[in-house]
Amino acid sequence: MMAFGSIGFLAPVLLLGLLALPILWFLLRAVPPAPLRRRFPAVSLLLGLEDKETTPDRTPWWLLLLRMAAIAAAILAFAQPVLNPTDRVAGRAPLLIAMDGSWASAQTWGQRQDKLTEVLQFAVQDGRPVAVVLLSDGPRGENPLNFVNASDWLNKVDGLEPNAWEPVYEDWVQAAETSEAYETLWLSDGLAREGRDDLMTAFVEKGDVSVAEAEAGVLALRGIGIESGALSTTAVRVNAGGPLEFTVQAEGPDPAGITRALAQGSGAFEDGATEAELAIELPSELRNRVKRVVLDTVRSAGAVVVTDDSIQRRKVALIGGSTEQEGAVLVSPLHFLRKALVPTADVIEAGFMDSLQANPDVMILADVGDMSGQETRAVREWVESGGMLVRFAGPRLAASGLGQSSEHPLLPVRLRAGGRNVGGAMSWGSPKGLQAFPESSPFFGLTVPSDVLVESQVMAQPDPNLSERVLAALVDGTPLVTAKDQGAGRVVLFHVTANAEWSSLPLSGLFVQLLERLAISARSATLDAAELEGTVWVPEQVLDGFGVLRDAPALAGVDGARLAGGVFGADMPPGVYVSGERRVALNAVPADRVLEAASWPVGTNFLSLTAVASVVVNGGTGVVVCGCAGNAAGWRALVAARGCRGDGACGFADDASGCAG
Amino acid sequence: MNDAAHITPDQLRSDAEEAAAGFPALMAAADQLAATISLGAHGRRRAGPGDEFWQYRPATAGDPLREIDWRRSARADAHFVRQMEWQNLQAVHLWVDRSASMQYRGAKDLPLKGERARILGLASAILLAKAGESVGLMEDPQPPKHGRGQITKMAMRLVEGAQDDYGVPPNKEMVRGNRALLISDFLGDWERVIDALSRAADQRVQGCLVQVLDPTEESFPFDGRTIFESMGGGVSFETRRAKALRDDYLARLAERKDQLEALARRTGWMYLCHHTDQPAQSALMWIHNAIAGPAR
Repeated sequence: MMAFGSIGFLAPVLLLGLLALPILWFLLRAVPPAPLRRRFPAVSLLLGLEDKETTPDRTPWWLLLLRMAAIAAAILAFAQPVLNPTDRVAGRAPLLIAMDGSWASAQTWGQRQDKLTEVLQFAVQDGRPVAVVLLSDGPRGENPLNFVNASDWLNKVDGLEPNAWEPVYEDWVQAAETSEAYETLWLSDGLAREGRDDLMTAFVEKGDVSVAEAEAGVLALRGIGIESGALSTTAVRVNAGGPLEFTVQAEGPDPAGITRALAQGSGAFEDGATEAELAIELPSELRNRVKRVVLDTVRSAGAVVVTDDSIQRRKVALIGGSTEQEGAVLVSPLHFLRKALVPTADVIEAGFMDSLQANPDVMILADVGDMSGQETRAVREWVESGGMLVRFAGPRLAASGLGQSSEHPLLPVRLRAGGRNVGGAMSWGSPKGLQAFPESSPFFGLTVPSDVLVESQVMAQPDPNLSERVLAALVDGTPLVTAKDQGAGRVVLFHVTANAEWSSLPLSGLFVQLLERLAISARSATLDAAELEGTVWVPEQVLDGFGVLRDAPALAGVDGARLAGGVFGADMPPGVYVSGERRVALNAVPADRVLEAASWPVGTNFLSLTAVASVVVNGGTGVVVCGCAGNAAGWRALVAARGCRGDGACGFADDASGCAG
Repeated sequence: MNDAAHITPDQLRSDAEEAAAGFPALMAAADQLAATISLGAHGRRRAGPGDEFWQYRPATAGDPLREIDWRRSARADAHFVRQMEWQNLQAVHLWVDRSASMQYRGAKDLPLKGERARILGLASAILLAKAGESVGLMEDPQPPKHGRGQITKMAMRLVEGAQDDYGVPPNKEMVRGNRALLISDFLGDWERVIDALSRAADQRVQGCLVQVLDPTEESFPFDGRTIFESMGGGVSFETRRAKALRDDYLARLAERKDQLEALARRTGWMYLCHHTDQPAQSALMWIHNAIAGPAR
C-alpha cells in the first residue's frame, strides 16, 4: 500500500512501469519509420522539388502526449488506485477486531463504526470469520473471542457503543492467547495504558496485527473545583500540538427544572501544552445548580465532568439563641460552627424570617429555645419542603421544656426534663466518650477520637422509635445525635452545645466531619479510601461512553473502598454515586489521570481510521486483466463486484479504459 | 561481367591486381559483343588509300610505274593502274563515364550502368579498330591510335573508376573531323555537359551521345520517406513521400533528354538513350552505324 494524497495504490510495484514510459515515448515517436536511405544517381533531378503532401515526419507532440497519457493511465489503473485509501486487512485467517471502546474512542466513534463496517464488508467478501470485541467490556464467557460469520457482526455495528470506562488489558491477555491463530485489527483510542505491550505481544503471536488510531487527538476535561469562587476545571489533550481553543459549558437545571447551559467559558491550549486551566465565574446560586461541565463539540464521557457535593456550597443560616456579647467570642454558641462552615459554605446570619427569605439549604439553631408560633410554622414549612434543620442543645433549649411532653415537629425526639451532667464536680462518673458509629448511621466509618468527651447533654425520652433515630451515641448508649425525617426535609439534633461548654466535640476535627457527613459543608475534593471504608454507594446516575448522564439501571451498590480505588468497569461506571446524604461524582477522567499517547512497538502496521473506502478494485482473489482492449463496462462490473461504494473510482476505470483507443 | 559488377572506383584506383583481374573480363565481354556485329570496313566509295580494290583505271602520265598493275595491263593494250578504295582513317575519341553515378543498378539482375557503358565503349572501340580506325580515350592526352594494342590500353584505362559523383567529358584537343563517342548518364551538372559538348562542337568534332540509364531512373518506383543520395554521397535529397515526386521527376528527366537531343541536333551529333535492361547489341549497332557510317 502506497499512498499519494488521497489516492493510494494496492499494487504499487506496477508503478515501476511508469519508468518504461520514456522507452515507450521513444518507440511511439519513431512510428513513422526512419527514412529510407537510397542511393540514386538521378537525385540531381530531384533537387529543388517540393513535397506536395506533407506526411508528418514525426508524431505530433499532442498525439504523443495522448498516447503516453493513455499508457500512463493504464499503468496507474493496473496499480489499483484507491480513492481515499482504506487499509484493507487482507487475508483468510479469522479476523479479530479489538476495539478499545473507551470514552476516548467515543469522540471518533462514527469513524470507528464506519471502519468497522468497511472491514466487516471486506471480511464478508473474503469469507473470513470475525470476532468483534470491546476491550473495555472485559472478556466474557468461556470463549471471549467468538469468531462467527462476518455478516452477523454487520447488523450489530450500529448497536455498538463505547463504554465510559477504559479497558483493562491484563484481563485480555489470557483470552488472546487461548484462541487459534487469527489476525488482529486493533481500533485503539490512542491512549497510553498499562499492559498494552503484553496484549500486543499476545496478538502478534497469533498473527498479523494492524492498528488504527484516530488522527484527531483526544480531548478531555479533568476534575472540577472551586477556586476563589469560580468554577475551575482543566482540559487535557493527548498530543501537544499547536494552540487550540475550546469552550466548555456548565449545564444544570434552570428554576423550571429543565437542564440548560448555565454558563459558558472558553480556554485555550498554549502551543505545545497538554493541559489548559479554565475558570468560569458565576454566582453561587447558579454554581450550585451546575450538574455537569461539558467540553463543547466533543462527545465523550471524558469531556464531561459531573459535579457533586464538592462544588456545592450550601447556604447555611446560623441562628444563635442569645444576642452575642462583646468579648465572649469563644463562648458564643455559633463560633465553632462559623469556623467550620465559612470556608465551605455560604453562611447567613440573620433572624428567622430574614434567613428563611434567603431560602437556605440548612438552618442551624444553636441552643434556641422556644420560638414564636409564626416562626415555628415558617420553619416547619421550610423543613417540610426540603430544608435541613440542625439544632444544638444548650441551657436554653433544656430550660424551655420544648418537646418534653410531646414530640415537637422541630425536634427529632422527645426530651427528658433536666438533662444530665457527668464527670462534673457534683456528679459521679466521668465524661463519656463516643461509641463507634453504627452501620446505619451516615457517620459510619468515621474514626472516633478518644479525646472527644461529653460532660453534659440533653437526654432523649426512650420512645419506641428512638433507636432508629439515633445517629451517634455515647459509650453508655445515650443518644448524642438524633435525626428524623420531616416531610421532604430532615431535623437533626445534637444533644450537646455547639460550643465547648458541654463537650469537647466542637474542638475536635470530628465536628467538621460530622457536618460534612450531614452534607452541611462541602466535602474535600479527594476521596479517601479509609474514610470511605465500609460505606456502600449506590449509583444514581451513570455516564455512558458519549458522556450522557443516564439514570442508573439496577446496578448493585459499590463498596467505598472500590469507589476510592477509582478503576472503572462495568460494575462501577463513572457517574454519580449516592450514599446517604452524600453524593459523589466519579468522572471518567480522574483528577490525577495524565493522558499520554500510546506508544506502539516499532514496525506496527498502522491503518487509517478516517479514510472511508470508495472502492477497492482487487481483493487479491484475481488479477484484473483488462488490457487495452477492455471496456468500461467490464471495469464497472468488476468494481461493482468488489463492493464499490462511490462513483469516483468507477470514473477512474472509465479513464483507464481509454487506453483501448 | 559479374566480376566487373564488384568493381568500385576506389578499389580500382588503389588495387592494381583487382584492376588487372577486371580487365580480361571487360575485354572478353567487349570482344564477345563486338563479334556479334561483323561488318566489313567501310569504304569511302572512291579511290584512295585503302586495303580494298576499288577499280582499274587507265594509267595517265605521271603515274608512277610501280603503281601500274601489270597483270591487268597485260590483258589489254593500255596500262592500267590498280586503285584501292579510299579508306580514310577516322580518329574516334571515346569517353566512358566512369563516375560514381554510373555505379548503379536498380535491380540485382541488371548490369551496372557503368558496366554497360564500358562494354559499349570498348566494343565500339574494338569494332572501330577492326575497321582500321584509330581510337582513343578522351582522358588520354595522346592522339587516337589504331590497332589491337590501343584497345588493350583503353580497356586497362576503362577498368579504372572515377571518384566524382557525376562525370563530365574531359577537355581534349581534337582534330577537326574527328569523331567522338560520349557514353554517360548525363545526370550531372547540365551546364558542364553543355559546355563540354559545345567545346567539342566548336572543334568541328561530331559524334554521338549515348545516355545510359537504369530502368529505375526511368520509372522512379519509390515511395515513402526517403533520403536520396548520390552514389558518392555528395548530394542528398530528402522527401517525405517519394511517390508524390514521381511525375515531377519524370518530367524533369524527359526535359533532360529533350535538352540532350536538342543539343545533339543543333551540333550535328546523334543521341541515343540506352537502358541497361535493353540488349547491348542494339545500342552497339546504333553506335557503329552512327560513327562508322558515312560521314556527313
